[in-house]
Amino acid sequence: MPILVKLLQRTSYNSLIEKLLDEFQVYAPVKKGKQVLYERIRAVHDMETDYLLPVLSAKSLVFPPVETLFTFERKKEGVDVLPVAVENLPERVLLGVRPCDARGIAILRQTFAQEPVDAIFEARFNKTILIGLSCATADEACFCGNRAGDTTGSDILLTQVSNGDYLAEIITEKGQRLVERHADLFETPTELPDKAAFVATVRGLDNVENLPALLKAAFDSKVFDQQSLACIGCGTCTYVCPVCSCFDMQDETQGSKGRRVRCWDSCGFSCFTVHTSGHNPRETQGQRWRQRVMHKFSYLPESNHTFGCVGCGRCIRSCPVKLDISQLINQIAHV
Amino acid sequence: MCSSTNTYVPYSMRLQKITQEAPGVKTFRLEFIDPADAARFSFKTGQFAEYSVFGEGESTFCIASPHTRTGYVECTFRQAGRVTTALSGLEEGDVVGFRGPYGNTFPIDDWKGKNLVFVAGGIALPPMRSVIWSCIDNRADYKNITIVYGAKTVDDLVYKHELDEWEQREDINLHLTVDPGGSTPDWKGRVGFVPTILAEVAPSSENTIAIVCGPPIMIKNTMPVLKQLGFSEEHIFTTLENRMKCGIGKCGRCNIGSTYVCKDGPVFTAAQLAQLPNEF
Amino acid sequence: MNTLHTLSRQQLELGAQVIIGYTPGSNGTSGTSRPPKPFFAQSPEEVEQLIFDDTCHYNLAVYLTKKEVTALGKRVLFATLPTLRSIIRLAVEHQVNEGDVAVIVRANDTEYALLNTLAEMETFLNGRTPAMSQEDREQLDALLAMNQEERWAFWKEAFETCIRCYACRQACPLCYCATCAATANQPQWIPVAQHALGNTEWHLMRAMHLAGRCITCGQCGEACPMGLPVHLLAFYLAETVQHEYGAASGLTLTETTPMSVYKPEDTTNFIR
Repeated sequence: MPILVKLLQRTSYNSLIEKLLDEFQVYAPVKKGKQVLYERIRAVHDMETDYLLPVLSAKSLVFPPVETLFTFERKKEGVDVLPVAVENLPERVLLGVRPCDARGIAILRQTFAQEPVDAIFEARFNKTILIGLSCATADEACFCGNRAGDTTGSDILLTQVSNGDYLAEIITEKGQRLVERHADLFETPTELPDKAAFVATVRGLDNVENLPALLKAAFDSKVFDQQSLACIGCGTCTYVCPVCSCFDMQDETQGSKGRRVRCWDSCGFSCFTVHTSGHNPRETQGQRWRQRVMHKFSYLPESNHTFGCVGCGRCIRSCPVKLDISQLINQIAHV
Repeated sequence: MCSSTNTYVPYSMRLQKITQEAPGVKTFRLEFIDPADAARFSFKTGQFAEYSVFGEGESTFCIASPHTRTGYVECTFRQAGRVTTALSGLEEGDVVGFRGPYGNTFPIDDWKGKNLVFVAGGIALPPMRSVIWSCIDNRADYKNITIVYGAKTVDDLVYKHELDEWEQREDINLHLTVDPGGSTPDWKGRVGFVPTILAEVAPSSENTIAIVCGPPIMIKNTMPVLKQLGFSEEHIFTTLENRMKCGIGKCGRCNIGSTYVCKDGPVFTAAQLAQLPNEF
Repeated sequence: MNTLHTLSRQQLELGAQVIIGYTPGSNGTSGTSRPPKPFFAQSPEEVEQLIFDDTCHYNLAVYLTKKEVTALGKRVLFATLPTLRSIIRLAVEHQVNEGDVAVIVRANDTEYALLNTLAEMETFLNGRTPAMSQEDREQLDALLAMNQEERWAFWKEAFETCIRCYACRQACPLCYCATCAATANQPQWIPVAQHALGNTEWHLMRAMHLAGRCITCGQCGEACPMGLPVHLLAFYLAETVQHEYGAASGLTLTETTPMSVYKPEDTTNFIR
């Protein structure tokens, strides 16, 4: 549907949030100690406004770290299996989502929506409304490639303009329905402010169009071993990434009752691919680093026509050994 | 209940029969507890499933029974890790979870009118066995069927009764072998590694499909023999194993390049394997 | 920097395969400069990129048990005092052998020194044991001043926030087990899933596995992307072991591992 543009005054945004708090579970960036995280809010003032990017992405809302798939009870005659009731999931609104995070959710959905459809993910996704917020600034870790005002993945995208009011782009039907319910708060602007003037310019990766082919050609290069010497093999970059979706499946029991869960996992861990026989197709950190790079910047573009990276820069900011993934990719592309 | 609304929920199966095939190796025959599940279930040879012990987890095995025989599914596994140890401890009558069928299939319809050569080693016979029976159950559709199967020792051969059946049949050329040092005094089969025996049997590659399955070392040594016999890469089929969890191309674990072994495989031709990054 | 680069280059010439040091970090968020990061120099050109000053404190000893690094051959490490303590402790636990590693230390503000043997490293540490940072001291004291409920509430929230990325484990020089107890599944000691219960069990288990071993570098807390002060758990146990058994870790090559050693003449009587 064509994008409709409205004006949302600063005070109207606050009123909107108050109304949303009555109807939905509302999530927004919240200050917790020294960090900002997307968390549930109960009042408008819970929402943090002074942030660039929460430390974790918004993917937890549709792909939480731990998700129950079904519960079971072992009895004498057999096992009772009870699937999770997705119809009962609550409806939620996420405010202040950065465009990179919203785009991350859209890319995630490609994996989970493929046949056979992951019904739990779809239910969470369908019950979540994303109200994005364009980035007026960026830092040196950002590399979204001038997508600080991208509408992909948001249902409504707000851009704050000079007087503190918001340009509101209504992108999806979900967003449209929300706006219609609160039509009194959204005005039709007489004059459209120039959105680009309020959105940061941000670097991207070098040579992006040729990246998939360049990386494929570099598959056997020693550069992956060299670059990953410093990598300590934790899962930080995977878990903070808005697009990473690898998961494990585990059974947990208490007596005769139990559940099977899906939980976050990382291809960076040494035993991610190890067979029971002990054989490990990716037994060095260099092979695992290569997999990360190839999957995000070569394989996924090949199969899904999208990079598996939105350039949010979290991996750079959170890496315990300060590996700069954007620098490393640029290096490989020039090898 | 392999639910259409929740793809992760397994069917509940009754463990109807346990067969001890070899030391540490068992075959399970599983039947659907809910007849409605049985009625709507079907699969094609080559596909695999995730088998659950509720409370321990899932393990990935091929469906070892042929699709020509309905009403049950079979799997054969070796006790090796947590889940297979739990499976090994089950008794007839216990409940096992079954999630599937997943993956692609052996294109046996394309093979009609051709000769078939099956080459398998040890615990890799189960996926072959499903194809072999699926073909034998429509025997007239295929020309010569040759099977070269070997294991480390006589004891390690699986499906011993079926091997006898195949040996008796006039319309199957069965060549059994054990590794050097693995024979017993009354062993009547050959002695030698599978690739060596294959070279001795030297089946013609004319109008023939080769299907190979075994441990990595066996496959590595079998491929050159097949190439020497004149088989082209498009006519050599194999089935790959990789660490799997979801089985449906979402958890990101079994991928090789942009290929998911669980979705785009596990059946591949040698030509397709040659295209994959060397990472398996 | 002259001596540092000269020393490093010399080591390469004398047969070291890699110098593990620091290089400046790229510019950080909001204009603050990011801390220096680990850097592996394997050629004279790469040596030029090495620095070692007040801003460098990442504990590089963690690389001494990383197989891709040990496979390179003889290594020379830039060592802060906590790094030296890590090396001594790793030697006590037979993870580092004489001749595997040499270190370059800051003899004072302007000079660097090369220490070739474990004995030299032990000597250098004599009288130079670093104290806990003021921030850590204050935070630990604040926790100890709380009553049990308050303290539990503090850690409960921390463990709920944990995402089980294992950065704490991977950054720790003394977490080198080929199969971590958290990874074993026969038996499954702790839940894999990163919920509050699993995370609580993880952190308590790791702290206990470090009791009597941790050299209090604090790298685990620094590594945590969620900003959780997990290092304080191990610090507390380090202090407790020192208090109860008079043992500090990573100072002498002849020290033992208090929680793993029992002698009949031990004064504690709960085991009798």
